[in-house]
Amino acid sequence: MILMNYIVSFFLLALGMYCIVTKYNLVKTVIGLSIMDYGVNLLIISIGFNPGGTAPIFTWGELTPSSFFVDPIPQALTLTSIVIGACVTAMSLALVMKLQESYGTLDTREIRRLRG
Amino acid sequence: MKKFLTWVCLGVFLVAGVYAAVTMAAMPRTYEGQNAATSVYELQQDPASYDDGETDGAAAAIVRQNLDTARAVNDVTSIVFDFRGYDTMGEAFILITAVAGTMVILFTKKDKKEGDQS
Amino acid sequence: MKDGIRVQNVIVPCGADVIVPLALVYICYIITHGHLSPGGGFQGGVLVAAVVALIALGYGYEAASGTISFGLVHHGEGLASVVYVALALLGVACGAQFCENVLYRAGSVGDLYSSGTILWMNLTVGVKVFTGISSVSLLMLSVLQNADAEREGRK
Repeated sequence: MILMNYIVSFFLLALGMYCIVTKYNLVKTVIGLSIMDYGVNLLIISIGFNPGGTAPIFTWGELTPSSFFVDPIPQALTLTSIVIGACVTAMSLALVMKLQESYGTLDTREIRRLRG
Repeated sequence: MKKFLTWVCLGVFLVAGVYAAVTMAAMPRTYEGQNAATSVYELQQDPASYDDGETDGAAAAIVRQNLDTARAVNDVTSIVFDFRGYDTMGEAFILITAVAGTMVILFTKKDKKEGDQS
Repeated sequence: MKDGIRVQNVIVPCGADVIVPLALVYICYIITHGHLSPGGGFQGGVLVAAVVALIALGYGYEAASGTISFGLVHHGEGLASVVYVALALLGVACGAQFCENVLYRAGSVGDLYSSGTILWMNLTVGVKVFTGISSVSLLMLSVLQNADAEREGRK
């Protein structure tokens, strides 16, 4: 059921977008950004799936003459994408910590002007 | 009014996403494992004498050449470190940039004092 | 954390006592057998950073920063990335492409010491990811610790 994977990944994208746009707390905005990253990673992996295929590893003593592989290239590119998502989350959380120190609050309705 | 517009836009996005998902599920696969004329069992028994003549796509070529060229049993690791090692170097660069950026943002005078004492 | 309530940490340190040695052995297995089974450098590096976070949760920030010194971790990350680029340039020195596997004749397929540069690259990338994520975690925890200490001092 590859269709279920695709629909869930688009639902995760919409959910992340809703969190970024509607929430007033900055930590919830960062969480929404992370959810969008996970949705995109799920989409990339689901593209290279063959129904009935096994993992693309030549394990000894487990391959039969009627086995075939799934696509290994999207899996290799998703590893890089996961690390990028984690780095973006780390840097945005560091910015949120600096904002809390400087303004005293994390409500975007209060943080409206630059303060020297 | 703003809430109504937000919900309408998200609804349009979700409907477009579901339509895209249904269209993508009907398209042919990127790497047809079953009909790719690559018998994985024979490939494992005798990797050097499997012909890599005509392949359709990069994934088929990689699966055929992996045991012979990279000698790694895991296909995904050999892609990440051997066939596309330049992308892994770029990703190591991203890690260094993220750590450097976080240190620049969170640097205070107290950290400098602790660093001088240690 | 409400003011005036002192929390005694008992469950998390006991769990960490049991989990950390087993987890470290399993993580070494994941990193070194990257070319034989699912796993590799990235996955193992992230798990080691998670073990550091577990120690920081159970025993506090002082114990975590005493386990791993920040200066060593910071220099180790730069060293690991330089070693990775040197391994990748090994292919160019031997007349092939940039990241080509030029030591692939060592050992036979399926052994632990096979597949030439991929084994060394796995170890290098594992060290690099572990030091990077640990240094970010330790930095953020130290800032939170300073803020907590200031709030305690002001009260």
